[in-house]
This record gives sequence, C-alpha cells and structure tokens, in this order.
Amino acid sequence: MPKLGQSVESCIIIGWKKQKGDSITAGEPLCEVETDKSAVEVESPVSGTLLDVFFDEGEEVAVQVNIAAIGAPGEDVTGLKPNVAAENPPEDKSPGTSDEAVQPPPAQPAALEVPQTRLSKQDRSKRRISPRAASLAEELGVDISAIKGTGPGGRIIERDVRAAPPTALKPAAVQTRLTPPIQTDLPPGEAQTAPLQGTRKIIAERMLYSIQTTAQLTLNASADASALLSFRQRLKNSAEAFDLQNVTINDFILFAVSRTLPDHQELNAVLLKEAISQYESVHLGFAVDTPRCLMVPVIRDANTLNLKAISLEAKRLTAACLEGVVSPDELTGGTFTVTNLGSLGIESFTPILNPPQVGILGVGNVNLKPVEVDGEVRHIPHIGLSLTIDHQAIDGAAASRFLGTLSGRLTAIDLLVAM
Amino acid sequence: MPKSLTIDPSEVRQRSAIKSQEIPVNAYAATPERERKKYGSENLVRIYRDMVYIREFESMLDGVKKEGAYRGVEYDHRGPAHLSIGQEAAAVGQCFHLSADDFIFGSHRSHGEILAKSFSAIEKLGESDLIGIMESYMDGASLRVVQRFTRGDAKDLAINYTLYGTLAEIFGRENGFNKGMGGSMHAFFPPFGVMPNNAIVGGSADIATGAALFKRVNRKPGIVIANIGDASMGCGPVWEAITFAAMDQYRTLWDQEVGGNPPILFNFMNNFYGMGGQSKGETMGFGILARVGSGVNPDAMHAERVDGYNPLAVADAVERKRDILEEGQGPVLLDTVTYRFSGHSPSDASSYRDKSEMDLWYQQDALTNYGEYLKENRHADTSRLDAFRDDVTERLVNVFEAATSLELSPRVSIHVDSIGEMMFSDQYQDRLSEKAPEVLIPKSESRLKTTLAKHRFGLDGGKPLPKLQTLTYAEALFEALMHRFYEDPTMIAYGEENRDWGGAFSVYRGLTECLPYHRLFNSPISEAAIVGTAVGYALSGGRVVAELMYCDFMGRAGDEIFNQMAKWQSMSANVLQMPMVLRVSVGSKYGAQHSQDWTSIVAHIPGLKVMFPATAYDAKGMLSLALRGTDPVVFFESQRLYPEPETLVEGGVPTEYYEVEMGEPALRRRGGDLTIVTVGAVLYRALEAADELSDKHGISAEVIDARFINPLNYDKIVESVEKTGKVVLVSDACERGSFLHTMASNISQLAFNYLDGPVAVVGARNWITPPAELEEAFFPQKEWILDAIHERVLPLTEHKVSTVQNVEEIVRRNQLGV
Ligand SMILES: Cc1ncc(C[n+]2csc(CCOP(=O)(O)OP(=O)(O)O)c2C)c(N)n1
Ligand SMILES: [Mg+2]
Repeated sequence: MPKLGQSVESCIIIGWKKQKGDSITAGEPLCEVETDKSAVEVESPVSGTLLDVFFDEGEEVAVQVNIAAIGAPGEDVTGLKPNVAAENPPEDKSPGTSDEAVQPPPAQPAALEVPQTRLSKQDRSKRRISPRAASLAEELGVDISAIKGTGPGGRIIERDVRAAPPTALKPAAVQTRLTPPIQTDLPPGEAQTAPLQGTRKIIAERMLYSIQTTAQLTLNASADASALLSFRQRLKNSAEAFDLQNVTINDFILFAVSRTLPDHQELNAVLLKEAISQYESVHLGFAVDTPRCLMVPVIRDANTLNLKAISLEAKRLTAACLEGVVSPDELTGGTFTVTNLGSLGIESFTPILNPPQVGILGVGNVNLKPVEVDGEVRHIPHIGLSLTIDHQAIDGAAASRFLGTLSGRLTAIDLLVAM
Repeated sequence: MPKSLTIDPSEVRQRSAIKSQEIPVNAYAATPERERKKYGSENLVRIYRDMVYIREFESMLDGVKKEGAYRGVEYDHRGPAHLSIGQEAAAVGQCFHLSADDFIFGSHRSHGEILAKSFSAIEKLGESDLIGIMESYMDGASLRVVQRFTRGDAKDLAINYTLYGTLAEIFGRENGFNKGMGGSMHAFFPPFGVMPNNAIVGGSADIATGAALFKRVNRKPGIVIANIGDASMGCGPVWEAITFAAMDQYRTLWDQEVGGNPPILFNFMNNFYGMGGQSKGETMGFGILARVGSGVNPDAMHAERVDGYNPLAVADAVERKRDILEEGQGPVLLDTVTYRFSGHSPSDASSYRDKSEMDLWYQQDALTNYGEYLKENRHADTSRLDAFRDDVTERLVNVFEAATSLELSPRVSIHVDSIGEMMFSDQYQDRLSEKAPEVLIPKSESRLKTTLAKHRFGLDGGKPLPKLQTLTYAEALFEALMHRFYEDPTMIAYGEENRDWGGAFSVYRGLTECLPYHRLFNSPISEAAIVGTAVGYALSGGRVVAELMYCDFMGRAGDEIFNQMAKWQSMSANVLQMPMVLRVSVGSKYGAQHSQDWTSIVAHIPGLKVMFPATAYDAKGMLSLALRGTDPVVFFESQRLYPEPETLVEGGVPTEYYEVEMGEPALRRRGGDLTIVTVGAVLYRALEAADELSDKHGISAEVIDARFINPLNYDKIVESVEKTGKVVLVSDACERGSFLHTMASNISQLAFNYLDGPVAVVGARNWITPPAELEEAFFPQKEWILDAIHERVLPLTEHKVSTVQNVEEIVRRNQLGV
C-alpha cells in the first residue's frame, strides 16, 4: 500500500482491478483505494502474475503494508503476507457481548519477519513523536503527518510542532457523535443501502463536526455584476494568445476574495482551542463537485497570484480532483473557502464552515435586480453572495464590512484587476 | 597514634614469650549445701519452673509446626520456628542474676532467652512497675487481651503477658511485642531488658557491643550479653565486635571515670552445630570454643567453658563475670555447653547426627536432672514439680487461643500504609538526654573561631576568593558536627583515624581538642563493627556518627548497613529509634576500590535515608538535619568537594545553625528549555554543560541538584520537566542499576505527556574506576552530557559529538555487559 501523501496512515481498498491469476504489466492499475481525502488508483510496480491479494474490498490497510503479491506462477508468497493481527489491533469488544469461555486464546505475538537488527527494531515504531509534541500538536490542531521531525532519528519534537506551517493545521477529529433521537429502522420499501464509508464517511463526520462545534451565521448580499460580466466577455473574446478565454466568473470571485481577505484578516483565520490565528497569506480553498463527492482543494498563497495564475491553478486543481489524482496535501491547510452553486441556478444558500476556518463564501447565480437609479428603476445584473462565519471568532458587523468591501470590489472588478 | 603512648623499639624488639592465660573448662564445683544457702529453695524451684515454661512453650510450637495444632486447636503457622528444646538450663541460668537493666541480645533461636530474661525481670520488678510497663507498652493493647483470661497478681499477669506477647509476635499479630514485624527470630521486649534478636548469624555481637558502649558512655547501669551460636564464631563481624570490645584505649586513654571497657559478655550458646555443620571437629578449629579468648587480649577475655546443662553453673558464671564487666575489665567470653533436641528448624531431618548421640544427651536432659536434684535435696516434691507443667499448660492453652484468634489478635492492617509508617521514626530531637554534654573546652575556644571568621561565600564579584580564607565543604560539615556535639550529650563519633588525625579528610580536625575520648575515638579497622556497634548504640538511645572513610568500604559492613541499621526501627514496630548517621565519602583518583559512588546500592535498601550534598551550604544544612533526626542516614560526601567553598548559594554558608528541608532538591540554575538533574559532585560538570548550551546553542538549561536520594520530593523535578519536556540525569555512580534509572522511571511516569524525548541517563561507565589519569574516561564529563542531549533528546545545531552517547551504544554496552 503506497503512502499517498504525508498525512495518510491507511487507505480503504475500494476495488481490485485485477483478479488472482491475472497477468499485469507495470503501470497498469492494480486496484483503487480511497484515503480520507481522495480516491486513487494504485498501479502495479512490476509486471507478472497476480499471485495473491491479501485484502478484500472495503478493508482498511495501513500504508506500507503488502496488499498483493505479483510474481511468477507457482512462487511461494506466504512470506509476503502481512501479519494482520499485529498491524491492526483487534477492535474493542463491547462489554456484554464478550464471552470469556468461547473466545479464542489471545493471538500470540507474531514471529517477526524482519531480521532482528537493532536499527530495524527502532524503525518499527510508526509514530515517531514525543508525547509532549503529540499533545501540543493536538492542542494547536497541527497535523503531525504534515511536519518533519528534527529530533533524534527524525522524532517529531516540540519545536517541530511549534514551527509547523499553517498548512499543517487540521480540523480536530470529531469527538462525540450525538445519538439521533430518531427512528433507527429503515422506512418500508425497497432501498439501496450502502455503508457510510470512505470519503463519504469523512465528509459526514466533518459536516457534523462543523455544525456541532461552530456558531454559524450566514449573511446574504449581492454585488452589481455588470463589470464582471462585461470583463468576462472581453476575456472570452480576447485573442487566444493571451490564454485568458477560460477565465470563469468563479475565478474572478476567487481573485477578488484573495485581494479582500488581507484587508479583513479576521476572516482569514482559524479558530483552534481558545486561540484565533489570523494569517497574512491567503490559502484559498474552493469547492469542487466531483462524481464521488465534494472536494476542497487549496490554492496556496492566492493573494500573491494574479487573476490568470489563480484561474490556471483552479483549473489544474479542479481537473486533479475530477481525475482523482489530487494529492492529499493539496486538500489541507486552507485559511478561507469559496463555494459556488451559481452555475446550478442557486440564488443564495447557507454554506457550511470548513473548520477550523472561520469563514466560507457561497456564490449564487447572476440575477437581474431592480435598482433605483436617478429616480428610475433599472434592472441590473447582480451576483448573490452568502457568507457564513463562525460567530465565535467574528462579529456580524465585521463580516458585513468584509462583504461590503468584497461587493464593492466585484462591482469595480476591472479596476481591481488593474491594481 | 596517640602521642601519649610511645612505641618503644627496645621494648617491642625484646625477646620474650607469650604465656597463655589458663581457661577454665566446666570448673563449677559448688555443693548442694552451698547452693541451698546461696539461693534458697524458692529460687531454686523457680529456676525449674522457668525451664518447664520454656520446654512447654517450645514443644507447643514444635507441635504446631509438625501437626498444625496445639491441644486440639488447629493453626497453620507459616513463619519460622527455631526451637531451643534442650537448651533451657543455659537460658534460665544466665538470666537468674540479671535485672531489667541488663540487656540480652540474641539469635534466631532465642524464644527461651526471651522468656527466661522476662521471668527473671518480672521476679525483680515491683508490682507497680510491672503494671506500668504493661499498661504503657503499645497503649496496653496486649494487656487487655491477657486480662481476659488471667486471674492472679501482677506477676501472674506479667508472665501471661510475656507468653502472649511473644507468641503473638511469632504469629505476626499486631499485639505481638513488635506488632508482628519481627516475628519468631526478631521478637524482643526492651522493658524487661530483652533486646533485639537477630536472624543474621552472629548479628547480635556488634550490636550488643554498641549497646554496652552506650551504657559505658552514658553511665547507665547493667551489663549486656550477646547470645550467639557456636557457629557464629566463624563470622567476621563477631570477631570484629570482639576486637572492638577489647580495645586497650578504654583503659589506657579514656577517662577512668567512664568505667573502662564496655560491659559486654559474648555468650556462645554452644550446641555444637550450626544448622548441620559441626563446629567441634568439623567447621572450626578451636577444639574448645573458649580457647578463642586467648587470642584476643592478655585477659583471654576471662573466657570459660561453662556447663550449660546445669543452670546453677551458668548462673554462677554470669554472676562472676558480671563483676568483671562492671569493673570495666571486659569483654568476657563464655562458651556455654548445651544441646538442642529439636532440629535446627522444623524442616531439619537430623541427617547430620546419630540417634545414639541424641540419646546420650536425652539421658542427661537438664530438665530431668535438675528436677531430680531438687527432689534429692528436698527443695520440692514430685507433685509440686509436676504442677508446673499443668500450670504452664493451662496458661498456654489460653495464650494460644488468644494469639491465634484473629479477633483478639489481628494482624496490622495492610489496607492502610501501616508498615510504611513504621519505616521511619521521623522525629527531630535536639538532645537525647538532658545531661550537660561533656566537652573539654568551650565552643568559643574551638576551631570554630577560625572557620566562623572565614569568607562564607567563595566568590567576590564572580572571582574566586583564596581557598584558605574561605569556608570549605569539609569545614561546613565540621560546623554542623560541632553544633550537635555541644547540644546532645549522647552524641559520639568514631571510625578509623577519627581522633588526632581528624578523619582521613580532616572533617574532624579540631574535634579532638573539644571532646573527651569517649565521645570521639579511633576504632579498629573493623567496618562491620563500626556500623554494627553504632546500630547498638543508637537503638539503645544514643546519637552516633559512624564513619567509613570511603563508601567503597561499605561492602565490609554490608549486613550492618543493609539488615541492621536499615531495619531495626521497622522490625521493632518503632519501639526503637535509630538516631545514627553513617558518613561515607565518594572518592576519586584512588582507582577501582576507592572511587565508586555507591548511592544506588543504599537507595535500594528500605529503611535508610540517603543524602548527598554537593555544596558547602548543603553540607552543613543537610548534616545538621541528619544529626537532629532519629532515623538512620547514610550521608554521602564528596572527596572532590571537601576543599571547595560555596559558590552557588547566594550569601554563602550561614554562620548560625540551619537545616535544609528534608527530601527537597535544590534549583541550581533556572532555565526553560531543558532540565538537568544531578546527584553529587557531577553538579559542577552539569553547570559547565549548561553554560555551553546557553553560550553556543542558545538553550537555557535548568539545573537541579537532587541532593537527597531518599526521601526525595519529585515535585520540583517534575515541575521543571513539565516546563522543559527534556531531561538528562547525571551522577558519578556506574550507570547500570544507578538510582538515576529509578528517577528516570518515576519522571517518565509522572510527566509522560510533557516529555519531548526519553529521560536520558548519564552515569559513569560500567567499568572499574581506572587510574587517576584516565578517570575522565570513566566519570561523566561535560561533553558526555552535551552529547547525550544531542543524540537522545535534542539535536544541537552544529554540534560535533566527541563521545558515543547514542541509543545504539546503550544496546552495545548491555550486550557486552560493560
Ligand atoms: C549470615 C547468615 N548466614 C547463614 C544463615 C543461615 N543460618 C541460620 S541459623 C544457621 C546456623 C547457626 O548456627 P549457630 O550460630 O551455632 O546457632 P544455632 O542455630 O546452633 O543456635 C545458619 C547457617 C543466617 N541466618 N545468617
Ligand atoms: Mg549452634
């Protein structure tokens, strides 16, 4: 099981692309696996015959564990089979269901396959982090898989956590799940039931976590989109050589947001355990709808990129998400998120925060809005803006000011681009 | 050494020969008539009664061990029972002339002696004394039980009290004489002069000698008897005790008024066997044990072989020897012939002796013979004698029932920390007697004049002051000792080269002028006896400072430190206190047998307090603390530090009296990034490392000097580790089994979530200490500390290691065992 990103400790095998006995060439997809952030195809590193697969679909496998054996037909591969008992500690039996008498004897510690050298013994510890660094990381919400240890033998120590870049911040895991006060039986009738697992499960947990742990307040506004539409039209019609024809409305929004957040840093922030950290750099997440699920890739340092660069990066990330090749590291560390349902005809909605971020901007479609100009009602195109904030960290007025600045800048987008 | 005694070559080189003093063997020859006149029938019969009581008591235990019951009452006694069936006459005869002021110390086989000595004391004490003792001892708990089944006068009550207190002790009950903490082999009862019995063969020899020394120095009445077995004549500490007791100086150098040699009688209960080894003809070469006396001093220890199968012969010998001892002409050796019918212990199959031999002794059973003697000489008739057996049986049935009942005789609770509370007495007492301390000159004229006038802090504006003009660590110790010597009249100090020389490292310089011989003297080179006698002195009620020069010599006093000094407070259930300080020093430069830091060895022994000051301030403050306490303290000093002034504690060493708080480590430098904890003189190398950490790496290290090993308050250390997350422990003790590993384990449990790396231990190599020139490869150096930090805890930027301190090295060294 390859390590698909620094933070990835384990993956779920979604499906095998080959069956036992099939021949396979190097580079051919062997199976599809899912991390908590994306689904990825695992390619065969070698050519040969698939002699054995060690895990079934749906099983969760720790990275760097053998999942299959490829070789010449007839080869003995039993030695390659990972010792599952040792790798995955047995799940806690809930009290009451366990019956001492009929339980099999506890598994003997597996004989170690690795030659017993001193160094390999030490290397076996998967998590090389000091208890102090671990608790600090938890407290600060630092994703320890995203940082490098500078302690002896690469151990992550306190100073590494303190020096962690904002990109290593992560939402804390869901700690509690409320028991739903609702029926637990399926309604009658035919149903297609799929287990809540993989990315869906992660999203479910994060959404619930978001709602349970933040004080969400959504503010709705709209901005005069005339300049936006005409500028967009101008680019669409521009010479191909400029490579600006594919800049979308959403790219403009991302651009405008990236330029507005630095002036409203309270929104470009994360709230973790009693501390609010505001950032100068804007790491801008944006929602991408993929057939599998919703994904939020992050444009790093968006405030330093010009419109075209933002547009290109957004395209690249969107494509990666759609193809399932986005790297897990590209899905973490955002400081603010933009989500756009305008293309689906939505006027306004309540975006859900992506904790520990404290703000998310929802973008609606463009509608004509009657506006009184010089005593006369005119219909001017407006684009819907729905900003959800974490009221724990930000007051409504501050958020309104941000929305105000943003819509002002969208209204004069041509000038903003020129700045 | 003393200048007053000249070693004259013309005398010592002169031709002559040593004529041995004659040693009487079974010389007792009184007629029945003389005995009647001397003792009277009642006393003679009472001797018989006491022998019967002992025989029945021991036979009861024999039955309990072998059949699990006594007179139909079942009981499973798990512990030991070394019985003295056959040896009754020797015990009863010995105690006849003894009073409660006389002490007997015994062995694993001393039930009979406990009873005999108690019955003798009961006979001599008045009714109100007896009641007073029984009511006050452990708040009268056992008395209340005995009163349930005893009718009769105070003596009757006291006899049952003795039987019950002893049996309850044997059975490990809270109403036992020592709350069950001593058990069969250690039971004792000081109010009747029954002092600790010792399960270490010969263990009582030096302790009893120390008790005799206590009597001498503090002018207390009574003699002291060490009852030890014939096989213990092979024990080094027994010989050491004898040499210690026989020193000439008591009569040649000590004030005559003190009274001469300590009144100690080494009584060998000679039953001719160890467990199975036979001291006559097999395991020893003396032929007749009493012969040993002639090797000791010109008086041949007034040695005699006495017929222990005749109680009156023994009584006569003790009476005569008591005069010698009271005159200060001891020590005395008695070789009391006896024989045990019972096995060594219940598991003894008597594979080492023939039934025919036992039959010979049965035929001469002292109990039968003495009964015949009483009848023949019409002191009593058969029915009177037989009545004793019925009488004691009746008593024992009641006593047995009470002692085996868990309601009347519970064990100490282990649900609370009862035993933990007995480990130390934790008292602080300025003086253990109200007499005026005996001194030769006023304090103001002593060497204190010089020390008090010195600079009390070694630095002036950061620059060192001249060492000669500054108070040193050794002088700070001297000041602490002076204070207590002038406060507590019972306090004495001794060891090798203590007087005149002033101790090998001059800590005692100036004391010779202040103290009479009996408060400060030179001992023989007998480390076991130095410590063992100090144990006896302390448990008798005196404060004592024993000194062993190098801690490396503790091995010579192993039993005395590990089993005696450490354990008697708790084995007595705090009936005894142990106000004793054992000074030892950690050496250097003198190679393998003189340079080891042995703090870890004593740290392992329950019942010892262990201290190791590293600055002059602490030297005085911690010794002051140790000297006012009532607990046994092994006080480590550093030879490296003796000449050093105080340089860390601001204000230096106070001239007045003060104490350091027990168990509290000292913060030597404040820091936020890393904690270094040290034990002993390595503190200064740790401070150098801390300097380099801050100068070269910008790391601020907090340095804590543990200074106490036991007890030790971890709060300060844990607080520091919680702050810094990184900790290195350093000491000059060899790394394997070092106390630092205990500390490391505690820290990692107490501060686990705060740790940013493993607790690193840096100790001396697991080698012999090499020659002085190579010591830096053996004792932890500044570089070791830095390298260990770099390799195991916190990599230092641009640091180049010069020693191997990585974790692979830990594996390698352990694989090699070095
Ligand atoms: C230092 C020590 N070594 C060995 C023993 C084991 N042991 C107990 S009693 C005994 C024999 C002692 O013989 P002796 O001193 O003559 O006393 P007895 O048993 O004859 O009364 C031995 C070897 C011990 N208790 N202490
Ligand atoms: Mg013997």
